[in-house]
Amino acid sequence: MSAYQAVAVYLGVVLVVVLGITGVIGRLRRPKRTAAKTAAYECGVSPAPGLGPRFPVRFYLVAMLFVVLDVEAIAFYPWGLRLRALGTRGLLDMAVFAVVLAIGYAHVWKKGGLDWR
Amino acid sequence: MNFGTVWPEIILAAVGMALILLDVIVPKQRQRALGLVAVLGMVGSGVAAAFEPRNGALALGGMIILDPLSLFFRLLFLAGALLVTLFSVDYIRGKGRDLAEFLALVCFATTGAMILAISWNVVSLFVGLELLSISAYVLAGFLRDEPKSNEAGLKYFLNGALASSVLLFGLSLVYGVTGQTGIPEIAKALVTAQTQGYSTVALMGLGMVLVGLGFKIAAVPFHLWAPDAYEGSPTPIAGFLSVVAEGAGIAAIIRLVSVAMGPLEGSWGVWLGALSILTMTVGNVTALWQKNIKRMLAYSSVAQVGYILAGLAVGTTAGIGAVLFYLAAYLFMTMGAFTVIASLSSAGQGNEISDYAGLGVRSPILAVLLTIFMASLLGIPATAGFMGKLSLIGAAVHGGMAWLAVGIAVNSAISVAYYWLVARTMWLDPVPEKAEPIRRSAELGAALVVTTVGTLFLGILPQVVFFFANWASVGIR
Repeated sequence: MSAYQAVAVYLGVVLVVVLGITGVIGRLRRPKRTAAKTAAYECGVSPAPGLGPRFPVRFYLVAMLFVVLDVEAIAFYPWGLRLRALGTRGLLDMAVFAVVLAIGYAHVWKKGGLDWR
Repeated sequence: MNFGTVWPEIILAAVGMALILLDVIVPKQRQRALGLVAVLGMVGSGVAAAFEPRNGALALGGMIILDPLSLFFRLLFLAGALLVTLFSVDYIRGKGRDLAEFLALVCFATTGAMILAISWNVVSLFVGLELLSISAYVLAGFLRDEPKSNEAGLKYFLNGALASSVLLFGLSLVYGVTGQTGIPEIAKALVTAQTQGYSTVALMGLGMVLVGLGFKIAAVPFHLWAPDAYEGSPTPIAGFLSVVAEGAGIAAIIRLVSVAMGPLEGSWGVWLGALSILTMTVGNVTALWQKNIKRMLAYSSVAQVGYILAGLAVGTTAGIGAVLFYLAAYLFMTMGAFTVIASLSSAGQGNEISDYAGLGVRSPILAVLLTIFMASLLGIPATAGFMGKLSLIGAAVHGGMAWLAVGIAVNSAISVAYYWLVARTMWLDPVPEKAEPIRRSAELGAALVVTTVGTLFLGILPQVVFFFANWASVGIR
């Protein structure tokens, strides 16, 4: 038996056991729905949470813009570490990258994405 | 490294960025002219593509190949993007949305499709695919005041993200077997892997690649997102998804499956054939029940993908050539149909098929054109669709897969019912009481002329494009 056949047998056993357990228990138990049982268990977020305090939605916009530009800035670090090895060519490549980034930044700025009011 | 070989992509990306900047400089009421900027950029990119080498030269450290296939796909995607631009100018402004952002995203998505098609390495191919997909998700949800468009964007995004991860996982398995990311190197290493008995993992990788790309091109059973995405997205983008995004998926299948996994042909030939039959049958049969014309065209494009997959399943040079020809035909007829729909819906007409009653009286020109496009999608002689199906059937018979030819023939018969329903509604159903005349803008008129001429030209004088398609498909493996 090759290693793959063993994996296939294992997958088959797993499938049978899981389906068997859920299937048999589904048949045996008496369905009794309570509020606690229908709620999402510890691993889930409540699907209909109560209304919390109000918060300004524009925070999301600023936060997202911050994250986008912040993540792009990471690309500068490896380049900075290898600055001399990459030489003029690396500088030019990074300049192109910075210009592309600046175009996006200028667009956001002029569109009013950074205005708080 | 030499960037000279990717000028078409650089130009298009630069035009996209220029549009973003012009968006904040040019006043809102004068932004109609930005359509011209995008058109000029696409034409410039096409001219640059025509001057690129096409002898199979490698560029950017072997990531890019410049062969006839690259040229074909670059021009195909640019033509698709050009038509989308022509017919979205009025549509997007009519919906009160930002034209410049829209056109910039179209430019970026097309750049991604072009990078994908010219890739000679799975890494650059995946980067191109993601650039295309991410821009397309935003475009599908572009009408953010309309719940349907939001739904389209979200469904397309969730399915597309899943597809990308499955594809990437499959590629990682292939990399695990071969240790290579270059497309010809993978093909070479798979030959050795087969003799050493590693091909099971490679087959798992192949399966996941096919599932991932199957989602992208909406092949059955991975097509369930398509009708909702087509119905909800802006009509030009429905055309873009079915021509450029699906064309890119086909390009990815040619590069990844036909070429890189060429040694596994014994496996994928049959898999793709089964996928093809399933896709065309389910697509056509489901289209029979549709009431909304955009949903009907979505299922119709699922069926068309099934026809195209038949050529890929055959896998011969003639098969790939037929696929390329069909993609060119598909570009004109599908774009044409969506253009007619867009011009009707910007004139305030609904998208239900019953709304098309009496169109033959209210706007005879549009009705004649829509009839031509439906005839071509159906495969009536003297249209592009007929020549396309003929070459696919010929390739299937000569490639020893006659059952695919039978599948195409039977499915064409099924599809008569729903394509002809539209024509019948337009010409024979009574004209409604409050019929308004329909206006067209210059851009829409231009798009209609191009698509109609293309559809008829490919049907009556197909030699030029046949020659191009066959030339592009020789020697790709």
